[in-house]
Amino acid sequence: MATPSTQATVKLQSNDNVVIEVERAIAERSVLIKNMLEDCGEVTDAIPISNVNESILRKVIEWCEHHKNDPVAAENENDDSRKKTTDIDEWDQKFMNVDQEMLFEIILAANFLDIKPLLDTGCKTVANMIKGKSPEEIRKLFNIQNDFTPEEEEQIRRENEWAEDR
Amino acid sequence: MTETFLPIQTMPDTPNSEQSEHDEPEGPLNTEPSSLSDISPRRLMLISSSILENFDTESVRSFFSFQLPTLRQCHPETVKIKPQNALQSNAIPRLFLLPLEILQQILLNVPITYLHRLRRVSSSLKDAVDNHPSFRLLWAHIPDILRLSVISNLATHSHFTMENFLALMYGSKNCTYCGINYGKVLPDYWTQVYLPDLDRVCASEWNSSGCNICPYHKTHPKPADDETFHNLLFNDTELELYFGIMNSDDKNSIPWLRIPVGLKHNPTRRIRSGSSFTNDHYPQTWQSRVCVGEKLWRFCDIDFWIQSEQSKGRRLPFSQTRGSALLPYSTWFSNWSNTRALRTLNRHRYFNVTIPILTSRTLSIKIGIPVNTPLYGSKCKGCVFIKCKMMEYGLVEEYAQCHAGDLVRPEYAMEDHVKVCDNTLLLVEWASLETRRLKNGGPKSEDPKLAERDEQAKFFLEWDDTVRMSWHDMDLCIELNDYTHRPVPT
Repeated sequence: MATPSTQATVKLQSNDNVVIEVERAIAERSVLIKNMLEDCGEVTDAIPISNVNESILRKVIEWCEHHKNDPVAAENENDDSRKKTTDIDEWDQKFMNVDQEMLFEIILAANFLDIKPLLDTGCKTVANMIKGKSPEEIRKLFNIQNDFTPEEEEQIRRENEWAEDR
Repeated sequence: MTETFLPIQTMPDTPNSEQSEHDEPEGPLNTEPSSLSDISPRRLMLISSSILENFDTESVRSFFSFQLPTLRQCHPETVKIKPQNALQSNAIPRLFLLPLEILQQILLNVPITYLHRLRRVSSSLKDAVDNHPSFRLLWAHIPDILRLSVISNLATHSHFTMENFLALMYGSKNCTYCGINYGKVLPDYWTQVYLPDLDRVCASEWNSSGCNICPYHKTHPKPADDETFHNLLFNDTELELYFGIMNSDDKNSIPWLRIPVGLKHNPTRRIRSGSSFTNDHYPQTWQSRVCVGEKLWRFCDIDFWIQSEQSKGRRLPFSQTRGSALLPYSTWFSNWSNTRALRTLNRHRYFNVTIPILTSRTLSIKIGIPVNTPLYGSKCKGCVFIKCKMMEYGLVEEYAQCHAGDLVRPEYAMEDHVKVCDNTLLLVEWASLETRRLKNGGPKSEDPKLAERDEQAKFFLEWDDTVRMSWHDMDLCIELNDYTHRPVPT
């Protein structure tokens, strides 16, 4: 295993070949990059982030910068007994206040870079978008077509009848 | 105006395709043309938008305006769709472009009620929800608790997610507040789920002198808001209809302890709800501190279920064999079918409420509140069952002495509620009119159901007139129809 590096910054290269230099501590919010740096030691070349374009990479770095001092949860530290809510931090809410395309790109980038808190925030944001909406509103929101036949729709409506607002 | 053209990546089946292959031999498809005039109509069908990016907009536009008639002739079915429409109609929703594990992660964060709405959006989302392992697992093993959560509107709250239900089932068994699992230390202590908050709390066995609740609860008031509790009250009819709990089931058991259908009866492990949780550590009743009625299920014992199921050798989560995979769906479908049937029967139901109009000429009336009408409806169930009174009469002490056990809200909460709740005010107004009509011997309703209710109302009117004269100072009180606990006159 490589010896721990004292490198202060790392370069990240987006899939549109833009190189962005960031503090190592910020980049290491990504478990993928962290593991890579630990394995390789000093890295002078830009690290290719093949699945993420420049604008999304900058957004992800912005999130990492803001959360660079957050404690990193150990994998086995997940206390399942604690109730989790879909409440999102105010700054994160503003951060996620982007168009749908970018939101999903951020989620995919977080998944690729293995930044679990960002992925969780993205998933909660999408979940919050669904809350309080009728099926028709959800269709409009995500541009989903209703592909049920009238018979299927009626059957599902009957199945769901008990769960509807009264 | 600039037109947008979609990249067409698949070769449609056309009668001319074979012939054109012979006519126009071409190189590899990924070879970029040096000029647009090198592109044949057939190749145009396979062209990638990235190739077009190499040319300026004007050349692309003129090229397509020249080639489009040819294309329409060769591939009428493909080209007749306008490109922009094609984008809208054929675009895959971005939600479905996410990897399955991310979509499932999103669903874990959606409250249970909205998961059911997602099932109605499209077949893809229905499949995504139905095939979510956690969804199937939960509906297979705690259907009653989920149903209770949805029907009571609790499951619209952001913490009623599958993730939290799973955490309750498989997470730590320690009390949320004190962090201790007394069950490991003291044999008569156990943790249970406090349903409105989905919290584990520790409590000892219920007995006639009360129940030992975790002392830390005293300093950690429950955060559940009024709205939550407002939607949590069930009358006997509803309990019977939705959960199959009959009054007779409770005859020989301690009041307020109920067991949902599907859970085995175990005299030492109970679903509990109710009011008598006062002890030395916690001098208040739960009822006076939070808005709960005696018909409220507050606790659900998920642990007990897990223990009983595991003792039968079932594995959780269930394996993916065909037989076991069918199990949750059949359970689920059965639950839905039953509920649906009950809902049909119950479509024109009424809540029965006893409303004593307590003045110097004490009167009381038993009325049916139609459930689904906007005027007196049950959108706010708490209003129907709430025991409200006008605080300006200063009857706090009397009230507490007479019906401490029936309090459904703290006094201050009732006062606030009555002031803001239109449903209650309407109900009061309506009840007053009804009472006056009955007292004056008004005409009976032509509707047999209404007439029957009028008869019952008169019956209660006479009964209460004799027994409850002592409440003469109170102007109005609406209370839950707890006739099962009253001496019913013969």
